[in-house]
Parts: sequence; C-alpha cells; structure tokens
Amino acid sequence: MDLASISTLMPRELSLLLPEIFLSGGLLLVMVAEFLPGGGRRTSQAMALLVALCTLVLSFTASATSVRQGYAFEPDMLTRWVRVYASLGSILAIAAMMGSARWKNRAESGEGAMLVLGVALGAMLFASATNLLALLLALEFLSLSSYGLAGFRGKDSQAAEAGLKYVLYGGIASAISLFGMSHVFGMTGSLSLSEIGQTLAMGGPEKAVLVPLLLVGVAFGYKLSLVPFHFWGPDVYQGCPPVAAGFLSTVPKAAAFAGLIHALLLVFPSWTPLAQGSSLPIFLGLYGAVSTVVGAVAAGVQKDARRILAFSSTANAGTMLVVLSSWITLEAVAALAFFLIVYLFANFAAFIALDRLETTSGSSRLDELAGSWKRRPWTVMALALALVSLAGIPPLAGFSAKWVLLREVLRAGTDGALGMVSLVASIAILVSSVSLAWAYLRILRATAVDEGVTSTPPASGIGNGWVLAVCSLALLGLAWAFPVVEFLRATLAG
Amino acid sequence: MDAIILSVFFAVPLLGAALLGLLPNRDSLLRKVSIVLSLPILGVALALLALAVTRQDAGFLLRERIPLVPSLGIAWHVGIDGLSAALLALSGLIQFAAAMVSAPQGRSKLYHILVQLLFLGVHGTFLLLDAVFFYVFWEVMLVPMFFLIAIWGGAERKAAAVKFFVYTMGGSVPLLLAFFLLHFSVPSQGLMVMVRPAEVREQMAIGSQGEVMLYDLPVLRVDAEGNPTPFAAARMGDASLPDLYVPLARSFDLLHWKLLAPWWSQATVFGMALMPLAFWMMFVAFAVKIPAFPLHAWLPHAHVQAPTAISVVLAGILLKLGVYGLLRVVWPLFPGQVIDSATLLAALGAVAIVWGGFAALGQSDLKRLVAYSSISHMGFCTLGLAAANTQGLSGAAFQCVSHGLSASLLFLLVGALYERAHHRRVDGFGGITQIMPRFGAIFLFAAMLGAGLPGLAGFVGELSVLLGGWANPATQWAAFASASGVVLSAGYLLWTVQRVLYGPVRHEEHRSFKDLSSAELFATVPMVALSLLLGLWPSVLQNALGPVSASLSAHLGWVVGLR
Repeated sequence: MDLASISTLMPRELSLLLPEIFLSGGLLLVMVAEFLPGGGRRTSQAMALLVALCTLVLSFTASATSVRQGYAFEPDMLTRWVRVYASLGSILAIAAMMGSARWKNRAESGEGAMLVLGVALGAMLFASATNLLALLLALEFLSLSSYGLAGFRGKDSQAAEAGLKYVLYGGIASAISLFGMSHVFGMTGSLSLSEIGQTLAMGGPEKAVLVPLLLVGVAFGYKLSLVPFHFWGPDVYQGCPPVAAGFLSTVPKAAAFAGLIHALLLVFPSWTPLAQGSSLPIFLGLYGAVSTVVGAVAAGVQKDARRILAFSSTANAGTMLVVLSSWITLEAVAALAFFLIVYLFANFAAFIALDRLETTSGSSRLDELAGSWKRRPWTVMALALALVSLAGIPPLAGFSAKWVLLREVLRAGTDGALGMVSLVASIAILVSSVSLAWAYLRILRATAVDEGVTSTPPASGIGNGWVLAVCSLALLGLAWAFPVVEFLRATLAG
Repeated sequence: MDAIILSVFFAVPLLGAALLGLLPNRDSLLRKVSIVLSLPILGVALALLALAVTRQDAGFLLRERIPLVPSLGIAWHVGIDGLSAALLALSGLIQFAAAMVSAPQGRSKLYHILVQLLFLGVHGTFLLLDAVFFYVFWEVMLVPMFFLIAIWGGAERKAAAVKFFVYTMGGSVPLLLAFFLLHFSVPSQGLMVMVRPAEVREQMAIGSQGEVMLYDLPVLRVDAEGNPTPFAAARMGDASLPDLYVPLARSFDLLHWKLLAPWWSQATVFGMALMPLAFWMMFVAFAVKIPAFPLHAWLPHAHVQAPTAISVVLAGILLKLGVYGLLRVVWPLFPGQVIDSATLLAALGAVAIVWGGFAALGQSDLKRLVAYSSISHMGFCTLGLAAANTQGLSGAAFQCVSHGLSASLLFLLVGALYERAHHRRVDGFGGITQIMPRFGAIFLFAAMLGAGLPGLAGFVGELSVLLGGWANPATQWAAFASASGVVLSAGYLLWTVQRVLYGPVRHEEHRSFKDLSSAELFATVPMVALSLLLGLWPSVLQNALGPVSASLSAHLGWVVGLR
C-alpha cells in the first residue's frame, strides 16, 4: 500500500467514523462557544458535556467493520468499546470538573473541557488506526491534548514542571517510535500493519524487524506509563487538576491497549492463542510483571496521595499487560476491558475524592490530608471504597476485576515456558497487590484514621459529590462481574 | 430452603449495619442495638448445634448449592455441620460479650457498623463451601479489623493495624493463587473419581430417579459393559457395595474438591507435583491466622493495641478461623501431604506451645501475656491437626471452643482491670481480690481454665490433642514435648494470679476500684458457666465435633490408602 491510499476513504466508509467526525465538530464548537456573545466558560463546559453525551450515544449506535480493507482507520468492535469508554470518561471528567469547587471558576476551565474532548478524540482515533502513520498522527493528537490538560494550571510552577516533563517525555517517545517506524517501512516497504504482517508471514526479515517494532512499542509503553517510561506520571498527576489526572490515567490507557491489540493481531496474524515457542507473549508477560512490581514497590514509599496513585497506575498497567501473555483471546480482551472499566470508576472516584479533600487541606500530601474525615466524612467513605476496590479486596469491583484477569492469565496452561511465565506473572501481581494495598492503606490511614492538626470546620457543599456517588455505586454494582464480562465478550465478538 | 435459613447469618449483620447507620449517634443506644443483633445469631447457631449434638453424625445439618455461573463453576454453596455450628455458636457468644463491653471513644457509629461487617465475614467463612465466596468472606474481615484496631486502639494502634493487615493479606495471596491452580489442574473435560462408600452413606441425598446423589453430583457405578450408570439408592443398604464414582468438572466447590483428593495427590503443574505446592501455599494463609509458629509475630502487637472488645473478638473467634480453614479446606484436599508432613507440622505446634509458654512467662504486660498464652494454646490445635486421627482432630476443634472461652475471659478481665487502673503491668497490682472479690473469683477461674485444670473445658481439648498426638508415631515426640506446655501454662497463669490477685494491697488508690459491673458480669458469667459445663460434660460438644472429626480422619486414611 502506498501513501496515496490513505485518502481513498469513500463516503460510505466515512460513516464508520461518525462518532469521531461528530466529536471533531463538537470540539470546534466548544472552542468557540466561550467567545460567542452571551457565552462563557460555563457555556463551553455545558456544551462539552452535551457533546460527550451525544458521542456516547453515537458510539453505541455506530456500525463497526470486521473486514480489513487496508484503510488507515478501520474501527472494529474493540474501537467501539474504546469510544464508549472514552465518552464515558469524558462525561465523568467534565461533570466532575464543572462541580469542582477549586476548578470550576478558573478562567481556563472552559478550555479544560475542550482538552478533555481532544484527548477522547485522540483515543478513539488511536484505537481504530491500522496504519503506522495513522497511529502516529492519532498518538500526537492524543498527546498534544494531554499536554494541555497536564499543564493546565498555567502559572503554577508545579504544573509547569509537570507539563514540561510530559512534553519532553512524550516528544522523545514519539521520536523513538517514529525512528522505529521508518525502519519498519524500510524493511517491509509498507506502512499498513496488515501488509507488514503479510510480508513477515511470507518469510520477510522477521528477526531484523523485531528491533524496530520494539522501538515503535515505546510509544505504547509511554502511553501506558509502563516501566521505564513512567517517570512523567507522578509529576503530571501531582501537577494537574485531580480530575484531569483521573482522566489521563484511564482513557489513554484504554486507547493504548486497543492500539496494541490491533497492532499485534495485524502484524502477527498467524499466531494462535497459547502458541508455544513464540517469544513475544513471554516478553509481554514478563514485562508486565516487572512494571507491576516496580510500580507497586515505588507506590509504597511515596508521601503524597496523588503520587501513590500515579505509581499504582504503572503497576495496574503492567498487570493488564500480563493478560496478553496468553495471547489475544476474546476472553482475555473481555477481562482486560472489564478491568479497565472498573479502573475507570475507581480511579475517578479516588481523584474526585482527593479533589474534594484538597479543597480544605490545600495539598495531597499525606500529612496534610490527616483528619479529613472530620471535614468530609462521606467523601472519605467514598475514597475508602475506591481505594479498597483498587487494592483488589473483596467484595468490591476491584476484586472481581483482579479475579477475572488472573483467571485469564492462569488459563494459559500449566506447563511449558508460557505456563511458567503465567505463574511468575500471577505471583508478581499478587505479591504486588500486597504492596499496593499497603500504599493505598497509607492514604486511608491519613484521611480516615489520623486526627490531624488543623481544626478546619466541616466542609459543606455537594459540588461534584454526585459524580463521586455514581462512581462509588458503580464499584459496588460491578462487584458481580460475570454478566458484565459475558456482555463484553459477546459484544466484542461482534 | 436450607440457603434461606442460613441467610440469617448474612442478613442480620448486613441489615444490622444499615440499621446502625440510620440510628441517632448515641453511644448507649448503639451498644444496646449491637447486643440485640448478636442474639438471633447466637440463638440460631445454638439451635443448630443442639440438632448436631442429637443427630451425632458427620452429615451436613443444612446444605444447599445454588449454581450462579455454571460455566465458571461458581456456586453459592452454603452448609453447616457440627463443626461450623459449634464455631458459629461460639461466634455468637463472643459477639454478645464484645458488644456488652464495647466502649469506643468517639466515632461509635462507625465502630458498631464495622463490627457487624467483621462478623459478616466470620459467618460467611464458616458457612461457605465455595472457594471463591469463601475467599471473599475471608478477605471481608480484613478492612473492618484494620480500622477497628487503627482508630480505637492504644498508643501504637496504627503500626499494629498495619502489621495485622500486611501479615493477613500477605498470607491470603498464596491462597488465591492455590485456588486457581487447583481449578485449572482439573482437565477441562472433567474426571471420574472413586468415592469413599462411608462418605456416600453419611452425606447422600436421593435424586428424582431414586439414584444416589453426593454433594449434588450423581454417584455412578460401572455396569457389566463397562459403562457408568447411576447407582440406585435402594442398594445403599447392601452388605458389599461396588466401587462408586462421581463425575467431577472444573469448579471452585470445596466439597467437590474434597472428592478430588485422590486426584490432587497425583496431579502436576509446571512439571512439579501439585500437592506439596498447593498445600503449603494454603497452609500459610491459615497458619497466619491461627497464628502458627513462625507466622505469629503480628498477634502480640495487635492484641496489645486493640481495644478490649476487639481483642476478645480477635482471640475468641478470628484465630479459630485459621484452624477451621485447615480442617475444612486444606486437610480434606491433601491427605497425603498431611501424613507426609505430620512430623514437621507437629513440630510447629510443639514449638508454639513451648516457646509461647516461655514467652508468656517473661511478659510484664498482662495483655501481652495473654497474647503469648494464646499462641501457646493455639499450638495445641496445630498439634492435633498434625496428628490427623479422630482424637487429634476433634481435640483441635474442641480446643478452639475452649480457648475461645478462656482467652476471651482473660481479655475481658484484663480490659476491666485496665479501665480502672489505666495500666496493665503485672507487677503494678496486688491484693486485687480483696478489693474486687467477684473479679478475683472469675479471674482465678479463667486462669484455671487456661491452665487446663481437669473438670474445665480447657482440659478436654488439650488432653484429647495430646492423646491423639501420642497415638500417631510421627507426632509422638512432639506430643511428649508439648505436655510440658500444660505445666508452663499453669506456671505463668498461676504466677500471674498470685501477683495480681493475692498478697497485700500494694497501691492504696486501687481501693477505690469498683467490682465488676453488671455489663461485665453479663459478658463473663455465660462463658464461665459454659466452660464448667463443657468440662464436666464434654459430650455436649463432643457429640457434634466427634463424628465430623472421625469422618475426616477416615477420609484421610482412605485417600492415603489409595496411593
């Protein structure tokens, strides 16, 4: 396939990208809404929320393709799922931002809502790209919006540091990725993932192309904040508004996993689940295990609630990667999707709760969060729910997600190198879960147990509390995972 | 129907927690409601225990299996037999006593709600026969207990709570992994496994076609053509039965896993034998809870820091869950490993008994002393389990109940003393019995109970364990060494009694202490009466525990005989 064929999408095929096209239009509208007569940041926020809601509905109804025709963007059932996920995340993020006592009245809050939609659009495109160039463009779109969202508190030095770190890391990751892509193109003569796969299958330079492919993978590692591409996480999560952190830690991950799954399936079409002897699944399993352990250990020594959540996001991404070590079965993808959904609600709940608590404590440092239960008992209770769920302790949704995921990891079999990897990875996940639980527990100890020194009066105001309540109810409801996992499996099958 | 009756044990704590949440925040009211909430549990559990005592067989009194996710082999499988009925009755009594003496300093609504959630976990663990739900309820206890110690405990409460949490969660990690290994080591097409005829007799139900059912599985025999056919219930009375089989699929059912015991001993994972791997992974989870040597380090710290009522719950019932887990989950699954490791397991028990006893001798803090004596007394449970014969197993179960009574009594009394004196130093008291005669009498009784005085409940369990241990050649020397534990416990408890209760009144300000209040008497006197009853008439409890233990012991012998 040559570059020209990217532009050969027919109008009929364009309808496949309806949610993305709608979201692009909505994005432009939100951008100008603030400057229209009678408009303001509230108008643009409300409009952004409306756009996100419409996108959610469109994502459910839009059709998907199961036939690969070589186009640059080919949305399939997995893309559909990412669209739903990204719109849901945007709704939660914008709603929480609108209700946040600290953020809703800031001058930049209208732009914040717009940037959230930008990240969602980038995520959706990334999840449907089947061409190296399209992947890169989607990645850049996703990243540029994320940089804006991360450095959102423009004048604050911490935020500026976060934004800058993010941009530098992102730029380097993209550059390495692009470098890898140029080699892949040079060796296989194609940018289309499926054509690359065909070339490799016909006895192409399989060994030689592996290194460039790994370089392309750096972009995924960066988006998933896997070790060693995770160093931007803690600073960004600490520097940006908590609600944005909740968004940035979830939606780009879903997109990156969808992109990764597409890439693996298209480049290695002949591989079957539980294939023995292929080294990539083993690599994915071990790599995920290493990320899990490093993230969990690092989370244990942090003194700031948001940094703990940042390192835990690295650990969780590693855990999710491990499930691909049994290669890409429908069940494995459904388990991954369920884990991501639970992670969305738990992470949003945790960050919204922190947003509310920080309104009075002024900081997310553990020692300053002490005594939060006196000021906002319900918020602390919701935070406890979110953290217990993240720690994977029953009977909350986090446990069900961990259970479903582990089941798929261990299904890989009980013999051979792959079975050994699945065992090692499961042990790594479970041992890390103790370290992670200990880290979350320290947040809980500060907020729910410690007396604290300040005698701030109890805080009032619902604000974004209802978004928090929705997330908490979801964590309780999703505890009974099986119907949801079964539904995901059925819908992903098409 | 059975599941509906047993749902009392889930509904009362859940609805109780909701009710407590709605009530006005008044300490006395919340406490009264908590006391009332313990009564239905105690009542239903005692009724079931009475049923078990009169029936005197190893069968389940109530059991129901409701498949929830058949494709994954997950079912809501609840059941109660003599062992779980006895421990649930103990749990009800402990909950009642703990509610009587609960005195949270502030945030009392949260305190009472957390206690209800804690007992929800306890009840679920005793009742569930499905590994997934068993694990869920096992872990449900973790978070409430953490907060109960961390918020309402002593000066070092937060460190103690974290230690408790990390130990217990670390212990349960291999448990979950082992459950998965067991699940996946069964071939996906299922297995036919031979069953023990006596077990079929004990537990059988009759299906709609008049065929024999065992744990909701059809019992099959091989007919003349070599095909498996259902076995008619009418033929169960025959003098000689043919070899009987059940078809088993991948599941998480603990009773089905018990039937798979012959399979586990030959299955392999990753080229290694499954049995030792899974056995030790699961053993660690439960041994942390008991706590068996060398996984006991969290206990003294947690006990000293926990508030009185929570110490009572911890010693009275939570430690028993470890023994229960071994009896219900680990021992039935891996008889071969139990027999192979008997010497090592018995050594763990003996070390805990002797070392815990010496450690208790050296303590200057009363609560620490009782905590170490708990480690020592729970060592008898480990020893009884290691012996794996009827006497050893029933002794371990009996010891659970008697230690539940003695340790709870001691913690209640130490707590009462601390409330008056605001310290717990053994050498900081003297002549207390002159000031508080009722306290003195009950304290002396509790010490005698702990020391295993004949005629009291503590004697029965320990003697049974020692006899069982002596009868098994592999554990004989450990039983011999452990007998010294009885002397040690007499030593440290009587020495404590002497220093605290007798002699001249060393501190004049102690003369103002009031004797035990009516609430404290309500909490302690039932335990005193029960210990006396069980000591003088052990068969009241033994008739419930004995058949279950005998059946388990027979199962162990049968499975090992198949090797």
